[in-house]
Amino acid sequence: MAALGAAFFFCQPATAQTDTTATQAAPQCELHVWPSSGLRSVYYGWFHGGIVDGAVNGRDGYPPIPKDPVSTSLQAELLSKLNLASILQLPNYQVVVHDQSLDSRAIRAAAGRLSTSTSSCYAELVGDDVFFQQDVFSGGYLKSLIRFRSFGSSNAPTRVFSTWSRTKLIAFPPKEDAGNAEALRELHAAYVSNIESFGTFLNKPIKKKK
Amino acid sequence: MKSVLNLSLGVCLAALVATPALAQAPAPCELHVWPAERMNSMTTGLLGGGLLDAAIHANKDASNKASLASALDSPSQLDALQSLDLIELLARQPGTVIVRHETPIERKSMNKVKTRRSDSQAACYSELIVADVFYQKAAIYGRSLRTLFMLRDFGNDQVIDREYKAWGGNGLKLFPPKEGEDSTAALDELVSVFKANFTEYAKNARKALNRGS
Repeated sequence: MAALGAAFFFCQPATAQTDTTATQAAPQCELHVWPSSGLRSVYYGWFHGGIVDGAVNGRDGYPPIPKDPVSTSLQAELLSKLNLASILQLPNYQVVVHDQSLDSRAIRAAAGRLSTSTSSCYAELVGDDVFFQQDVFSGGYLKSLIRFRSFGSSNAPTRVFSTWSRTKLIAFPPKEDAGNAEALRELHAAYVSNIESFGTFLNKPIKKKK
Repeated sequence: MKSVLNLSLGVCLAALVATPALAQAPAPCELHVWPAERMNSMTTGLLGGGLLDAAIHANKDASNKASLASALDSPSQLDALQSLDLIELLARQPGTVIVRHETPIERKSMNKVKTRRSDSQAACYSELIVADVFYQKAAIYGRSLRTLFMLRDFGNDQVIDREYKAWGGNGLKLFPPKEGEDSTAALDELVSVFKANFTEYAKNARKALNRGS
């Protein structure tokens, strides 16, 4: 029994070594993905509307919206269901979706990688902000500010790209509680649509300066 | 035993001498800082403003507001201000402690409340409040970011001794970003112009407060 135990003990490092060799043979590209913090809001009204997050915080004069309708955990869930490698045109990338959002400071000030990964083929997709934007003339939109950085094998990004993408909302915010489910379905579909639009923007040929 | 007694006596005397000196050291002044919660965007075309102009540009202005709110969220406003030498720029006493307030003051109460906005009992107390962030695009004058700041000196009580409220404003070259194009530089520009606005405001504040004192 003791001999068996000893044999098992010594087998473990050998197995681990084999795995490492296999990893070295074919480097695995990694795309690390972070959701943003919860929904924020901006509003443009007739005579007021400057208060940032007025709707989200239930301030007077701002359209009421359901509480935390696109939470960080829900975003992580939606992101996990998407084929992000295909949307961003990063074939053969292994997608790692983190379940916590990053502090806006960390996102904007980071010079190096935001994860501890040492992958020799590495990229990041970061949800910076997600807004419910509404104005009295053209209605509501879900807007997402998304940031992408690719590193290759380096610790400093070789490409940085960030942009807004938006999707028109019709049912959100719900006028009555009865419309809540439909409004949330629309909002979540808009969140996915914004990610897909971002993929298109990211891969659009860069315009040459005239 | 005698030497121990002498030593103890010496320590006690030193403590007696040192204690009043420590007690006399003045508590540091405090500068409490709040970010803005109100952000606006106004685009005027050749119509020169008015309802029709507002309707035409409403969607663009709402979109700009989201960019302002993201690039200049509360932590970013406070970080931007703290990256500057606030003590030097606002002519505060050396050693003044900066106290950050992450939650903005409700905009409508900004001018109504005339007492301290924090619970601090500091004998030397002042407040710097960012009241408004305002993007403007005018057909002739171009694009600019304006910021309304308010500095209030209280001294050691609840009464405002000196107050200075004014706009700082500077032009923008990159903001607003076009949809689908890289917005990194345009959003960073908002932060750098916000800082430039404060530097301009602080220069005027020093002059105004010096005249008043």
